[in-house]
Amino acid sequence: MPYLDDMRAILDNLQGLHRAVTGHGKQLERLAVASNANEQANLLTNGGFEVWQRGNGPFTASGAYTADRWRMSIGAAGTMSLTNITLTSGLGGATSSGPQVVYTHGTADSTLWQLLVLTEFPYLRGSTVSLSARVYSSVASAARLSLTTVGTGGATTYSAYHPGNGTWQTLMVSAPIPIDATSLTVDALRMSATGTHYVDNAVLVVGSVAADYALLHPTDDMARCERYRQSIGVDGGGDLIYTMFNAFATAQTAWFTPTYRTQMAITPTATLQGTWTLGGASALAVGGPTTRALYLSYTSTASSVSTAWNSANTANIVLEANP
Amino acid sequence: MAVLPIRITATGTVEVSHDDHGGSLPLSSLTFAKRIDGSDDPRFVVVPCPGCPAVSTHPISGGAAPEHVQRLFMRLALARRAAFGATANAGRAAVKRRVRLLVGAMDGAERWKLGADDDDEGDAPLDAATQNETEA
Repeated sequence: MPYLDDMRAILDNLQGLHRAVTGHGKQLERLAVASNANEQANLLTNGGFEVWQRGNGPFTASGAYTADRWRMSIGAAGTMSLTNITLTSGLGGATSSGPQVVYTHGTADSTLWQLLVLTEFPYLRGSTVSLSARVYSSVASAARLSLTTVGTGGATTYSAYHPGNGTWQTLMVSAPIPIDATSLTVDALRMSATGTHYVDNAVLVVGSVAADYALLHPTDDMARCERYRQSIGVDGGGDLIYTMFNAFATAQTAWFTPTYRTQMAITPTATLQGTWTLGGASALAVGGPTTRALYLSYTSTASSVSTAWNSANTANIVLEANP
Repeated sequence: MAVLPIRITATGTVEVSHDDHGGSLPLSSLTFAKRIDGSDDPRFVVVPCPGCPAVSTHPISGGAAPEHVQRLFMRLALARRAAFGATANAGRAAVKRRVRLLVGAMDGAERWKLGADDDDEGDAPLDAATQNETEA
């Protein structure tokens, strides 16, 4: 019957259309997965080396913190001077902050590294991670990346060396993390020969495929860093004023509880730095910092208004919580 | 940067480092932070910089420098056993266990950084951390 044939033809068309739409949907799904793989969250803090709360250097001491969360270690008999400069490490030569490392090799490698304590990242145990970073060097076999795990079967795994051709190269390395690992050390720059080396845009992701660097919004970048180091005010900025009104006698204790912008990773060291301006007050002190707040106290020296003010030089309260 | 205790000598002198300067202090001069009732809180030690007005309050779990600060607390606990709830004749191992418990209570058991063989009493330098501490 012609009518039935028409219906069958329409049904065939509809089924074909359904297959096409479903197939297209699966393609989109696959594209989304691929995109996610390429845009996994960077497990590093300050992987772009954009935040330098401790200043721009030069940093020369082994063990020093440089850019936020990045620490330098100098191998025996070597020297290292690390400074924050503007680098053209981005794709197409885009510029951003990053470390320049003037290095003299001794008898052992030197590194710029970040420690991940796996109590903070327990889900990494038993997985494979991949590190990538942009590296520049004019010396062959001098600069590379490495990952070091501590645990049963823990080891140091190295990337290939930068070819030393005076161009920015993306280096990559992957390594498994033992199921009982306690820490992962990420060496964004491991140096084995004298020269001036540069590194930028380090990315650590779960999986055996390294990911491209994706810039964080500055607010997010700073919040990550402040989990480990933050200042309550601006150095000498006059923005912290703690006042007790109407002390009825001298030697009264005033208490204040500044809170932090970001909860810290662990209980921090709190440093009262610089010279504070004290009016009718003495013995300014910090007590009992927790991961979220601390208390500040001083003693009145007059039966009137008393004040502590960070109005001069570097006066501030600085918190440091290093894993 | 925090005022860091980088070395403690056998005679009880604490050498500290702060930014580009440093100095030394007698261990006996270090005080604990005060609670709001005015009593000492032995979970926090106050370390002033001999070279500038900066003062750091370090938690027993370590804060800015866990190895250095935990060693300092070990020395403090051995010198002031009562403050840490230990009896006057408590042995070194008992004092160490008590410090370790306080570290764990504050930031978790895995925050403890001192090994069984750590020279907590000697004058071994407490240098800035090196790669060895993370690659051992």
